[in-house]
Order: sequence, then C-alpha cells, then structure tokens
Amino acid sequence: MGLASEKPDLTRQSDVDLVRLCLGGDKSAFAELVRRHGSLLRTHIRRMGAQGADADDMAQEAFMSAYEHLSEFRFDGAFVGWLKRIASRRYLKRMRANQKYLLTDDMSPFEPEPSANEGDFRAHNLDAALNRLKPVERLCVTLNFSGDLSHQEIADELKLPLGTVKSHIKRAMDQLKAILNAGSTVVMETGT
Amino acid sequence: MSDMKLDDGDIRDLFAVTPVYNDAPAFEARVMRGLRLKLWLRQGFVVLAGLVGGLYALAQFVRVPNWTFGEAVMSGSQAARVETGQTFRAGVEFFDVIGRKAVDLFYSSVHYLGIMQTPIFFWVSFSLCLACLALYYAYSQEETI
Repeated sequence: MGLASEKPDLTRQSDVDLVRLCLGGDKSAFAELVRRHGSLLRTHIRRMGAQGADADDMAQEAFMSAYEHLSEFRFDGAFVGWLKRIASRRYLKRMRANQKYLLTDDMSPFEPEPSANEGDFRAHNLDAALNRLKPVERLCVTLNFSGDLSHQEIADELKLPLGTVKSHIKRAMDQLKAILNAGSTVVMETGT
Repeated sequence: MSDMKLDDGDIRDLFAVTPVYNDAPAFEARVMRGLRLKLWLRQGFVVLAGLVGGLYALAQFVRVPNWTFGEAVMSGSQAARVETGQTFRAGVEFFDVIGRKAVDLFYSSVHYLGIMQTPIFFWVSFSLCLACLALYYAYSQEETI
C-alpha cells in the first residue's frame, strides 16, 4: 500500500526502460545505468589505451555527457553501444590533443604497467596482451571489437586510409592470437 | 590449455568479458556527484546571469537621461512626511510627480529605441546570436561519432 511499492525495481528494468525513466526525470534510473555499465565503460577506455585515473575521468565524462544527450538516444541499438561511442569519441578527442599517444610506432609511453609484468602475465589475459600492441593497432582493434565500429568508421575517425586500418586490425589480431595462444610462460617479443 | 588455438570469435568473446572493479560503487557515486554538481552549477549560472542582467537593466533604467526616479520619490515622500497636516495633498502631489516622471521616462525611452535601430546594435546582437548558435551546434556535434 505504501508509496515504496509503486516504485519499480530498477535492477529488473531493461536499459531501454531505464533510459525512459531517466528521460522522465528519474535520476536513480541513471544511477542504475552507471552501476550496470560503469565497469564495462572503464574497461573499454582502458583497452583503447587510456591509463588509470585518466580512463576513469573519461568514463565519468562520458556518462555525464550521455545524461545530457539522453534525449538524442534513438532506441535503435543497444544503450551500451551508444555509450561506448560517446566514450570512444571523448578518448579520440583527448588523444588528438596529445598526438604523442596516437599513430606512433614508439612503444616507450606504452610499456606495460608494473602489474602486468612478465611474472603476472596469463595466457588469456587480454588486457596484458593489448599492452603489447602498438598504440594504433590497439586502438583500431579495440574500436572494432569492443566499440563495434566498422573499419570504415574507424578510418573516418582516425583519418587513416581504410586499407591501413584493415592491416592494423589484422596485425593486431595476429599478435593477440600469438600472445594468447603462447601460454603464460612464454616471453613475448611483439613485432618479431 | 597452451595448445588451444584462438580464432576471431574467441577474441571477440574476450573483449566482451568485463572485469569487476573493487571501486565500482565509489565510481557510481562519483559520477552521480559530478552530475549533480554540474546541474547545480548550470542552474546557479542561469540564476546569476539573470541577477546580473536584471541589475544591469535596473542600472540602465535609473540612468535614463533627464529622469531621476530616486529623487522624485524621495522629494515626494519627504513632502508627504513633512506636511503632516496636509497628508492628502502631499499624497496627490507625490503621485503627480511620479506621473510626470513616468511621462519623462516614456519620452527618454525613445532615445534608447533610437540606439536599438542603429546598425551597430543590430550587428552586435546578430553576432552574439550567431556565436550562441555556433557554440550550441559545436557542443551538440561533439558526441556524435
């Protein structure tokens, strides 16, 4: 009989229903979306190449931006896909401002973090394997596999020829398979 | 395990796996706190802009040429106070003064209407509107990919 019984259980709502509730002014519905997809978005941004606190900042900005643009969500795809696109956009924008992170063959800024050193590496640790790729290969393969962007969309975003994007993804996939297949005891030598 | 061969589908599946973060509740709280702060700042900014604009408009209103609202009111009210025996007459004079000053204000406003019809006023307003539209467009396009 109480008012509490009229409030829907947000954990049982679909993303689309939560978005509709948000559009109706229910902020707790958006909090549920953050709870549901926060880790996924943080991981997506990290896999593109952002590091620690930067990745969390960008994830936070992406959520806040999504909230402000919620009325533009067209319900023709998964909400999380839309969210990832916003995050990807923010990451690429940030990366363009720091050209040293993008489209470079220099691996020095991307040495594996201490937690991902040889001793801790596991055969199926995708994140550790991604750390071994060149930044542009890592970015392309993550945008394709995690961000669900087509090769053409990636080429447009990165302003690279389509063929270059395809070869980056191909090379990245070959290396990921090699690294992940090699097993935990193998010391990787990328690019060789 | 070590001789297992991964294909593209397996890699895609690995990308779909999301690790659990220990600080997930803290992150959620941080996002919602940031959101509330942003909305509060935006509302505060609108209120502040309205306040500043209102004060500016009031200042312009008081500075209308040949029109001294404050002095008229003060002199009228002072007369009303001093001439205690003739309160009614003072009141009539007070409203008469206000009425005359209102007419003065109407005539002086023509001066401002004249300013509003100058080309410089038009171009300044037009530029401001264009800047607002451009900013809005740039902001709305930022998130589309």
